Amino acid sequence: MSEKKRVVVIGSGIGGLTSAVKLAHTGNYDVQVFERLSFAGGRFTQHDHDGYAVPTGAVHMVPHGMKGPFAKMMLGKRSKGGLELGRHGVEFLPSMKFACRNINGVHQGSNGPMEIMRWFPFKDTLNLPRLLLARAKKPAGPGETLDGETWMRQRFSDPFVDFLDAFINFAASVRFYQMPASTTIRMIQNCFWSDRPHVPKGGCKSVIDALRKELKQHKGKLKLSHEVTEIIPGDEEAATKGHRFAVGIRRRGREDATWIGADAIIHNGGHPNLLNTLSDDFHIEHEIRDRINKTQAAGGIGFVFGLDNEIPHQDSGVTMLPGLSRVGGYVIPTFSDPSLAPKGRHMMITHQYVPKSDIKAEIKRGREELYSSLPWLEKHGEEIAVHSYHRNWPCNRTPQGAELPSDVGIDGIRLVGDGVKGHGWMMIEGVTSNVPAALRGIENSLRN
Amino acid sequence: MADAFREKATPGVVPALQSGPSHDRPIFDGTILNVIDDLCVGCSYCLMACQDDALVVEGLCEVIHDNCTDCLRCLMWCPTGALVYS
Repeated sequence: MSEKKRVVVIGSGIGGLTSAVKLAHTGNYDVQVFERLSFAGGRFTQHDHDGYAVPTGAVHMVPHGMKGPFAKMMLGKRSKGGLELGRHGVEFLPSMKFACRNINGVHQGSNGPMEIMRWFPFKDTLNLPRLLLARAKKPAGPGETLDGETWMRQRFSDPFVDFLDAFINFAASVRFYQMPASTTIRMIQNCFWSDRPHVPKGGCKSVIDALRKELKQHKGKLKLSHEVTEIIPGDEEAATKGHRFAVGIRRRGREDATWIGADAIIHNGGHPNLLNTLSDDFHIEHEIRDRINKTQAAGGIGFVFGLDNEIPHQDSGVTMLPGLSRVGGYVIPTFSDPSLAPKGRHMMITHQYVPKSDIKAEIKRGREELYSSLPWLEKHGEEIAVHSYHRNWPCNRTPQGAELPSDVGIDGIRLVGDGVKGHGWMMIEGVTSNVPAALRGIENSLRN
Repeated sequence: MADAFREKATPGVVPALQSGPSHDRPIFDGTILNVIDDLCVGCSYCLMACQDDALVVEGLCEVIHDNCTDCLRCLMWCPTGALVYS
């Protein structure tokens, strides 16, 4: 029997680990995951901070609940393309409401998509089919210049658009005016047909830990604090002859890299970082290179607050704060899973988009908006951390709606992660929805 | 896809991940922990790794040198290699 082909996965974010486990399940490949940092999970994990499970980027949310691609992938049966992580204790707990909003100090919650419509003029309910049945299964193409804001404002009342805009701000870290209309429509359609948001039991880290266990059980390897320095053709190095690629791996704290042979590479680190490590021997079309260089990552700022038990409203749904210029909304996942905060305390995570590069000013502005729109926050909350995500640690490596291709034109290299989301899927749903396609590409190229 | 929307997100060029021995290993003769502002993204992971209250993150990371005990925990957590000994 011939030796197994080796697949190197660069980056152990949710996209990288999911693809690694899926490949390891086939049993046909030698899967090795390399992670620069000393922890796995990237922006989908958490650190413990005085008993609070402070997330590294994700908000402890499975946005589309049990009906979305993420839940189907993680909990679904192996025969249906899932990973069956349920046996490692992964469980998603429903949030108490489908969605909430806080407007002029009044908190409203809804149990389903149609209940939301009661908050808005009746005209919007009548117009809703124009949104839900609009044709947006595919992106409208390179010529699309119509943005979501214009499209929505033409059809719906301002309170309704503001509400959805706040939600998209919270979820995708861009606003309607920054997104193509087709993406806007598809994202909202996906939300309307979906389940209420769920909270992974034990936080996002429980999913990452389960993926790591599963990977280990299927003989995949994960190496932390190992960084990829360069990717060159395999024949250039004596140690990797016969492999398609030679990947330079440097352990953190060591000077020199060692070469590891790979027959295929799954990159979870975004397009700019892939281009940086690829040697000149690989040819990438000028057009793709140009698009990658032009793409701005979507930054974001998140506040993490610790709350006491006496806050006025007690539900864990995603709460939108419509009409604010920066902050999109907040979520209190501890009402679904109290283990994410110390006993008797709650944790609130906010999110806002970043339209200007002056991060300090943006943080200040966000804080002012939060304290003025949530009058109880001053009395019941304490600020634990301010996360800002920009430059090389963004919310989304490409903004929603302007995704780059997973295949940059090199046979055997595919990208996964938030730079290559599926059309109209937000957050981790987008990451998982594109993993199967990337793996098909890898498997096809290994077969030849 | 929609090229017009490509440049509309958060402004600021995405710099390349910088790495190298200097970002991992302190050279102890008189060097102290510093932050390269161009690389810092203000994610505040270092703050969570630090057990000595030697870091403040408000937009960008700042080091309180009086509290730092050179335990190097923050260096391992920094996702972009912005913390260096120099």
